Amino acid sequence: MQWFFNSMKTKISAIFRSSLLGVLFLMGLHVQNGQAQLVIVVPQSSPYDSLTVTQLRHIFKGEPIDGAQQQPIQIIEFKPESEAFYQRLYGLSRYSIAKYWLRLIFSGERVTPPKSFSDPDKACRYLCKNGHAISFLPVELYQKLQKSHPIKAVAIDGLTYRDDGYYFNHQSGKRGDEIQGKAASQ
Amino acid sequence: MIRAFWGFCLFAAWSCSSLLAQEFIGPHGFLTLEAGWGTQDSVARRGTFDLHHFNLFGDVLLSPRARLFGEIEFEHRSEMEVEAGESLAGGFVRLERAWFEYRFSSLFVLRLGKFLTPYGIYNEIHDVAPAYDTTILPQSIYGKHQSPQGRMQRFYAKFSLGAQLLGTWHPGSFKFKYQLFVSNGRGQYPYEQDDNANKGMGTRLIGEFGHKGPVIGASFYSDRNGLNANARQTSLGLDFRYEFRRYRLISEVSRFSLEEVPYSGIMRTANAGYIEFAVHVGRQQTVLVRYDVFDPDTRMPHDLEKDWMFGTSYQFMEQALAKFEIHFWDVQTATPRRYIQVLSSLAVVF
Repeated sequence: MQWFFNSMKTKISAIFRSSLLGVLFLMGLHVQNGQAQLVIVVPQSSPYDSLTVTQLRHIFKGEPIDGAQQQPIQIIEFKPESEAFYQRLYGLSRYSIAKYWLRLIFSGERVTPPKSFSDPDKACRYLCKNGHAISFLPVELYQKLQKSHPIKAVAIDGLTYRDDGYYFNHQSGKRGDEIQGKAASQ
Repeated sequence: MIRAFWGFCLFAAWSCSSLLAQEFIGPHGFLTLEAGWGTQDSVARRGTFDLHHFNLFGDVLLSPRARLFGEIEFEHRSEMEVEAGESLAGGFVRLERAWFEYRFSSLFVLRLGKFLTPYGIYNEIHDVAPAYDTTILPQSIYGKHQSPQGRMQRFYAKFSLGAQLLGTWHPGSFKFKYQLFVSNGRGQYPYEQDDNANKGMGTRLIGEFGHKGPVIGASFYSDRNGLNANARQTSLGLDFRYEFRRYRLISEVSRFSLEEVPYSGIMRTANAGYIEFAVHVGRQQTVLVRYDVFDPDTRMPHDLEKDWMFGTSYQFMEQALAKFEIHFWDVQTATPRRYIQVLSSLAVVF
């Protein structure tokens, strides 16, 4: 009987240890995901060098940022980072945003539906092919891909991705909000 | 009026620089498959499958300013031939929408053709099941109800053929959208030769208070209903939508009034409304509860139609949404009825 209890104890302890490791692993993934800094990217030929957060919020909901703008901007989603991106920009999940787009498209609005890519290289190629497009990439990928593709990073509220307080730098996101708040109050 | 129309056509044709520049945008269509079971009658108890919609879209940008939009719907069955013993009834092919749109600026866009009447949150996406989380829309506002003449119809035209002026204004993070339209209104020939002099007209106004704020809308529709002895029917609705993190709250109320039908003394005012609360669970699932109530005649006591709905939707792949819901109906007519309706559906965008 004793051997049975001992073996059960060992099994339960192993299950507990592996569960704990699993939880820690997931937490690690979550933290890693939260720390990824994003850069707003456009083709070199794009007229946009700097945008405000409000303009970005308009663009990624398919709204024109300028009344005279004739053609909707093509949004190119880099799938692995889109959840973090939409959470930061709107406080909503990618799932909610996808539903928003479905409503928009099927109600007959004049919009260009977003294109989604998991491969950053394909996303960049599509971005460069379409002069009137915008995307987002993690900093490391952007730095790597800008050597091979004619793309440029867009400054947000006057700050580049290298600056402290850049809106999509998650570690200084709070400061970014404060700066944006100050800019809005001025 | 006719000269102005032809003048506009010539202007639009001139300014569409080249038809060769046309570009297809948007998805190709969607499909919805439903399964239902209920306790209301023996037919519902048997349970049924239904290929509810197979819709094809065409959305083409002719030039940066001009656009053509069309949608063809195959609803239920649409075969032209039947096997022995089958019936042709119960299904149809319909031109759901077809319009030409010309954009002067984001504030002034002109649409000419057949469109889904902009009424409430859902009428413009009435059949587009992939765009909402339930199999059926709130029946109080979007369903058909019996008219005093005994016809089953909505309080507003689901489709309109005419002209629509719409636009969007973005002062800062606020967004204001308007839609104004005039159409043939309802009648025997609403898409060909209007048989009543009075036109259907209406408006929809939407205000969005920041990208994280609530969305408030108002809708108005009025026509002399050619399917209801040309009595004037007016619908007025207010809607509210707020999405915050994982939570979503939607509510709509509408008041429908039918003026006195000539020589019959029949008039009616009906009220309708619902409130829906949804929570996104995980990254792909939504759980929701809705209470929907309809008062078909405000002068009559104890005639409410109530529906409690509990449901969930799961996006198991990017283009497909599976839904499941249970409705608890309480219809307080002369012979009160309480029944359960269980619905499940699959909506796929392609």
